[in-house]
Amino acid sequence: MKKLIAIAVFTIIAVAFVVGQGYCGDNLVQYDWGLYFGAHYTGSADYYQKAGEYYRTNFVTKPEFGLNYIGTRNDKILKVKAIYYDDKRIKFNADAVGGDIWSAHLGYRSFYHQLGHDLLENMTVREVVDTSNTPGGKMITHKDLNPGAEYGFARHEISSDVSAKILNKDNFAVRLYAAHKSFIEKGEHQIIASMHCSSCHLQSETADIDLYSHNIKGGIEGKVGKSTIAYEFGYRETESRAGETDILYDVAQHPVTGGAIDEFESRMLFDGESVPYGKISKTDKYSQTIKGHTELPFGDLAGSFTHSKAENKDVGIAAKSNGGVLKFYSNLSKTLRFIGKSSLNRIRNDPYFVDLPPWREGRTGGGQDFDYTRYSNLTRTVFKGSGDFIYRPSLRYRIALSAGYQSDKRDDYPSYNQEYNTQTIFAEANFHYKPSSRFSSRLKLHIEKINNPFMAVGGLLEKRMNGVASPLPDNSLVYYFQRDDYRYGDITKLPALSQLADISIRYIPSNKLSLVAGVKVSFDKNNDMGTIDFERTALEPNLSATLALNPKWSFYASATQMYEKLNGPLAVALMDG
Amino acid sequence: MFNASVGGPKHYGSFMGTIDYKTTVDMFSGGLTYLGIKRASFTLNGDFISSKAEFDPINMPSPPQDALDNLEYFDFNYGTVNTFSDLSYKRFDLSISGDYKVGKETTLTAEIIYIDFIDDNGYVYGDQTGSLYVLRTGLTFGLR
Repeated sequence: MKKLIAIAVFTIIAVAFVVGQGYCGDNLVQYDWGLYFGAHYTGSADYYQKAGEYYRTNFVTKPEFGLNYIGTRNDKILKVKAIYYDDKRIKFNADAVGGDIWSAHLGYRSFYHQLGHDLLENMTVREVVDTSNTPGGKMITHKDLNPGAEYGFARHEISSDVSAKILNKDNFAVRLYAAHKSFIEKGEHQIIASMHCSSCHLQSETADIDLYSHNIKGGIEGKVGKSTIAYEFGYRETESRAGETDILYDVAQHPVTGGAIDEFESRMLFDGESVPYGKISKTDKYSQTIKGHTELPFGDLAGSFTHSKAENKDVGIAAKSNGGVLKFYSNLSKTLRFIGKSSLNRIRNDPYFVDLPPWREGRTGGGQDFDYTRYSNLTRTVFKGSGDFIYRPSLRYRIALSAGYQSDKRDDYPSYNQEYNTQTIFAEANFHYKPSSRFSSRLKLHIEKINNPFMAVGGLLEKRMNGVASPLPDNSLVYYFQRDDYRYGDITKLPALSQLADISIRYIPSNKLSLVAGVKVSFDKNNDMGTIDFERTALEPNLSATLALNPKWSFYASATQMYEKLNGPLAVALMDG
Repeated sequence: MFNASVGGPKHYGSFMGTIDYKTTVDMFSGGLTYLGIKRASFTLNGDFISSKAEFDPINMPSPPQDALDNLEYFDFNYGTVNTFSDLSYKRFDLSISGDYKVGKETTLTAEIIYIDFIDDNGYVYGDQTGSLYVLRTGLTFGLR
């Protein structure tokens, strides 16, 4: 909080200084201000937390205050707007502009967000009884340690930025800028732990929210003749200062008899003990970008290079990224423009070694080592390239044709050193037709062919183990983990072919009436998985009208429907254990 | 660990059906403004959303005979599974506001906000049906 206050004070001083430089010693030419004094009463019925997700019911009258100010002198403008709704909802904005030489902004916003409370009541199920009327052992139960708790958090946002041209010659200009954004969230939320046999028992507990995030950036832009070059630095950190919340993990035992504790606890990481749960990791990210733009005899060339590193400070793993973008714009003729874009980005996410105790240590046939290294599929090389031709023979017509290619090459997916390459080619056409100021229309057609879309590999289904699987050495039983060797079948809801059409028409039959109608249709499918033929259809029609009958009456109305249908698998392992 | 049967563990592989999932959201919005009274203006705005999500009935294939014979805890009935996750709600937002110029630089404002949420299939969070209203009024003083 002290850091946030320091940033806010610094920003206010900076804004005051900049504003003071612009106004000191001169009388304002024009100003306009308003003060607002009011009150509100909020009431509710039944479960108000959903209807009034961002309101607070108080059943008493609360005061409100507001301030609005605009002052101008020549090309300098100062705007201040503030509203106090209640102690959880306040908004303040101050903006000062000195022509195209300097600008400054300071903003604050707060609100309260009410969260739902998962009752977990749908988490109650148990196997059917057997022939001797005994219920089976596979079950899901739940326990809410704080039933009736009302969850929510107050969010405070502070933002500021300053920008100033420190040199402004005809062919040489330099601009410095800095900006910051912070947010704080304080309140309570629900955490749900899953324990014992991986999903047998869900336990709900209340945890504090005390989250801080600060984001700063600064940069310098230089212009020399027809070229510009810029450098920007950014840094963000997010930290939770909430106290530790512990969850008491169940004693591992047979779900029906309550016995076999030694056997069941030998398979668990936690049992019969309190363990910190739901902790939000401290993270930070810094980035540096250098970019440039120049005008060449045959077109404009722009490029940038960005290096960034995002780190989980608690766990000590980081994702590093290096990437560049190159763009070329050229007017091939008076009516034809070409835009070429390409980018190459390399992301490396640190692997993480997961160290587990030996499974069923000391038990017959046990002692298996399930330690593993998690290789991230975020580690990848991404290349994109596209070209756009924009043809505009007159103000009435505009045709744009685009085509492009993207390659996402993952280093270690589905397992270490196995390359998973997704290749996408796309084509798009955009047509605009505006024969008069009363009628305009737009049509967009887009098609994508995706080779090898990202999917969960080899985990959807299980082969029959009856008659095939053998017990562990020195053991007469077959265990659940042995199912991993019998899994197969890929699944994704990402398409191999995606098609979209989007049409919109605007018609103004008179000066009083304006009509807009449109429809967006998309169809995705993937028949390459070998498990299911995936299909997704989406339809989105919309219609709106604005009517100004006379200077006294005006109306507007709109209707939109969003429809989506897709299919998926329901896969059940036929087993008893 | 698996219970054993003839031929080893009672595990007879996966069987799979496909299911269709549909979501439909209808949104209507409207408003009117009246400036027919001297020194006054009135605005009425309303929004209505109806949202539904549901699975179609699931058609599962016939399981293998030895699974039927040996999995005594399975009832192989998926006839109602598609109804477990039905979601359906409606939300209605209405606001009426008016301004009246009391003096040259003084304006009286008033506003009524009403929000109604109707939960047709209480699920996860329970029945979230409820409503909220806000009554606001105030005076704005200006200076030029």
